[in-house]
Amino acid sequence: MINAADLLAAHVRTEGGTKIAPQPADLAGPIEYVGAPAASGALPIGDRPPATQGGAR
Amino acid sequence: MVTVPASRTAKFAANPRVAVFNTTRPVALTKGALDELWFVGDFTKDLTDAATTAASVVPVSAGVAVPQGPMLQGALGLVKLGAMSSGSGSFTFRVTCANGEVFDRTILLTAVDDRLWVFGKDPDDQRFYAFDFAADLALSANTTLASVGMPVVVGVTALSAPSIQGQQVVMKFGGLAAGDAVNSCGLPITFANGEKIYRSIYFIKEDH
Repeated sequence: MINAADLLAAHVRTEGGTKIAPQPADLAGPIEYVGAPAASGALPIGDRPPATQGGAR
Repeated sequence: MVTVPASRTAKFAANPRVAVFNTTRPVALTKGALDELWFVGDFTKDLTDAATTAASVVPVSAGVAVPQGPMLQGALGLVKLGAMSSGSGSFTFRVTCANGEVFDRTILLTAVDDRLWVFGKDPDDQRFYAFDFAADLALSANTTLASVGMPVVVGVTALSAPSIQGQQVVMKFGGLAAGDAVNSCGLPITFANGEKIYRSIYFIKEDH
């Protein structure tokens, strides 16, 4: 049986008395691109996100 | 047990899946298009302000499958959301209160790609890579990895079956398609709590 309160507790933190959902950056370290940048025409890697952004995945 | 260094580990971030409805506005969340995960709606403020309780809930969904739920657990709504038919969708909890009021609270969903983990690879290399699901497992109340489905391998060669090692899945890959082909391996993952996610890693050619 899935417990919604457990899932909520895994997500929600309290700041100034207001519950807010964490951003992805709270949940994992900054995205790191490993290896050399893609060659022209290869995968659309995109710009490296700022260190404070976790990125979606 | 295989030790895979950080340089060959894809540490997937997780998409939050709780919507705390402190206003009437929808809450925007992201989701892997194929993921099948439990989402929570928190109606505490609405119910507390009206000094009532939630009596029942029905779903109103668009562009996203609803394989289970919704259901109520106190002031929380729980629903499992599955495959998205396009890049966006929505799910609405239509809540009926004990005092007879009805309100809608909506989660707006945007599908996110998972092309962030790209590894350089020589076609001759035969090495282990790790898919790390720690962040998603934590958001699912510290569940565990239960099983891995058939890998979807493109451009590279799977030299081993996927192996669960704690919060990671480890696989060995060789070869690589020539040119700018999309080289990748996608894994369908099932958690111990029944949730499912799909994550991929990608390779680009580094010829030595």
